[in-house]
Amino acid sequence: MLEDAELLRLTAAGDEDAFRIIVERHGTAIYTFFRRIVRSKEDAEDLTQELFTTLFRSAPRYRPEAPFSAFMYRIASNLAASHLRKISIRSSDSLDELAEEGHELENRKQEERPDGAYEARETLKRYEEALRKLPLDWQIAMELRVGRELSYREIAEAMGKSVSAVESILVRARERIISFMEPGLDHSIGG
Amino acid sequence: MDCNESRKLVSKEIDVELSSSEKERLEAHVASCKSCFMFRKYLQEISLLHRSMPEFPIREELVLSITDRASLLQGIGQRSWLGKLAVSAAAAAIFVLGLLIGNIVRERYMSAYFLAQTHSSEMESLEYLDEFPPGSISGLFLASGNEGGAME
Repeated sequence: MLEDAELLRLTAAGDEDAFRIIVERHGTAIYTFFRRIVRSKEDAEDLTQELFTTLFRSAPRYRPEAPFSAFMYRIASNLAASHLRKISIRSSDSLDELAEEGHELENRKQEERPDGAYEARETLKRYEEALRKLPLDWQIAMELRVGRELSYREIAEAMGKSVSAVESILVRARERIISFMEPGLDHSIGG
Repeated sequence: MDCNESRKLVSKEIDVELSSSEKERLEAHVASCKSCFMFRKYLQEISLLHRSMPEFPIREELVLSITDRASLLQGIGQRSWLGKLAVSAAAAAIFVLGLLIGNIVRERYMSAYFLAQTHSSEMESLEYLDEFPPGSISGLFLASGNEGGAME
């Protein structure tokens, strides 16, 4: 299997098949990243398209010394930040769209008779709300680390920060989430 | 180790970025600190929550749309490369043509110019005045004036 860096080099040389492999390999991760950060399905699709177009155009400028994931998520983070500066997000978007995708919330009948699944879903909902209250940089750092599983070094390169700054952001983000969620977590872990 | 440092290490531990020496120091602290022990449990919980969030598979139509757009850009890129080449060739041809025309014009009109310059030099030469030294012309006039006066 060809490495991403090699595929991007081939893309720069005009190999459209190489580019297609990149899109198929990273499309879901990138689309999920945008869905979680911008929360709108349409905007996430537009940003995904824009990201891969930018990646295609900037392929000749890619230097393999930098990790491919850092290169790609740097573009993604900039696009998401720029997009969010332009718009204001309705807080209900996330839940509306989760329902559209088949992750329906429990109906009223189930709410009246809570069970384990309902509790788990409610905790997840509180977690999403807590995430949304974080500064954008912190949300991106959390998503890159926990969601996309990038290393601290890759996140630092993607966000244009030092590794120690990334460490610090992640600790503060987690402390803030816990402070938002503590009652729910107390319940779910029996603390 | 204080609790602030311990929390940083717990966060690194969750992210699998902890060195073995840091892990030993963390374990020693957590064993005796209930607050950090709970913090570690919370962090494990929220990491699980984050990982339980749904992934969103990209639609095949979107993949096609992205790759089609890339093909289009590739085509535009090639066309613009050919276009740039054509413009450069046309500019070079105009430049060479300009040089040729300039050369012809220079040869034709510069020779005429030099002829004109030579002629002009001749016209402007005052050598012919050598035949009339200073005072000779006024002397003639004075002489003719006196002759006229004498007639009167």
